[in-house]
Amino acid sequence: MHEYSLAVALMETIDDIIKNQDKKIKKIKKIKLKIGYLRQVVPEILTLCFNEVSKNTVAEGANIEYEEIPLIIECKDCQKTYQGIKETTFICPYCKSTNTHVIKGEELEIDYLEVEIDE
Amino acid sequence: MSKIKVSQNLLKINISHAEKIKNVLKKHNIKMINLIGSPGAGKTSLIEEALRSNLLKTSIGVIEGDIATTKDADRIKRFNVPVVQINTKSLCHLEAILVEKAIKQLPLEKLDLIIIENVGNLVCPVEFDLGEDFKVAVCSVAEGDDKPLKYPALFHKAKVIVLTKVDLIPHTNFDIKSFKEDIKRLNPKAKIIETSTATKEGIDKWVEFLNNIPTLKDEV
Repeated sequence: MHEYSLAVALMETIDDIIKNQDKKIKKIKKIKLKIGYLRQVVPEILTLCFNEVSKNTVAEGANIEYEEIPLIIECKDCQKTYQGIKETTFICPYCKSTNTHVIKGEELEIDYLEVEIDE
Repeated sequence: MSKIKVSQNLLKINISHAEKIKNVLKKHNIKMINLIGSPGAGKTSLIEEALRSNLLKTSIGVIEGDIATTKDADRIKRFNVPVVQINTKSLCHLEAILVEKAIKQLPLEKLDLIIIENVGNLVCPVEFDLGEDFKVAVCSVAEGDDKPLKYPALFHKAKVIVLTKVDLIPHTNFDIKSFKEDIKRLNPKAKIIETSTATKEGIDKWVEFLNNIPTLKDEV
């Protein structure tokens, strides 16, 4: 269960972003995250942990929205791409090459924040 | 309401510590591997066997990660090798900030290779970059042959997979063919080393692998 660590990291990263804004941020209303298929994250648990970590901060009560990014693998030999969800294989189904790499599905990213600015 | 586009990794701060570690290691020309496996897989025993072997030609420092006790570091200390024990208390994995502090306690000018033994766990340690050159998965026969498919993230990411306790295969239903096929599917280029500290089978291959890490480029 490393979601608590991820929640702390999310809070630290948000603090860092807020510090570097020109305008003063009053409240964070929404946090949009992109989570790749290969990342081991349970959204419900991360949200629970973040609710604890963000108490008494500008992010308290923020809604976290998750977008799951599917796994897309590219074969470097035949240049074809394929989706690797049910039967994840890194052997190219078209040419059997093992020279493949992940092009999507490893994201663990803060996409954007929706905030209220102190006017 | 206004929108701030971020597009940053959630683990940005861990990554920045990992980058600092990489710079320190590069400066001292040291390679580092991150051993990840279940509690009892035989991670500490593998390190001990390497230190015991007269084939070992590389100078090793060890960072031990455990929830509690200095039991693992005490085992390594008997070989007169520099070792730092990190106790994570409740944390189920190591993070770069902890390793960054630990590295400062090692005599870097004397080392070719640092072996990190992560907290015993097949899931969480995979998510945290420690600035290592690559991850090594350690899995024992006693855990069963189904572990690669059940923990795909680790077996996909590790460049090397060490199967331990192979002397137990005749006494179990462990199907080594299926174990290897599953790894091939998840990680076709992974190197598999089969070992037993009881019979010493494969220990020479493990030591040879450690000897060659300092000269390895990015690919294994």
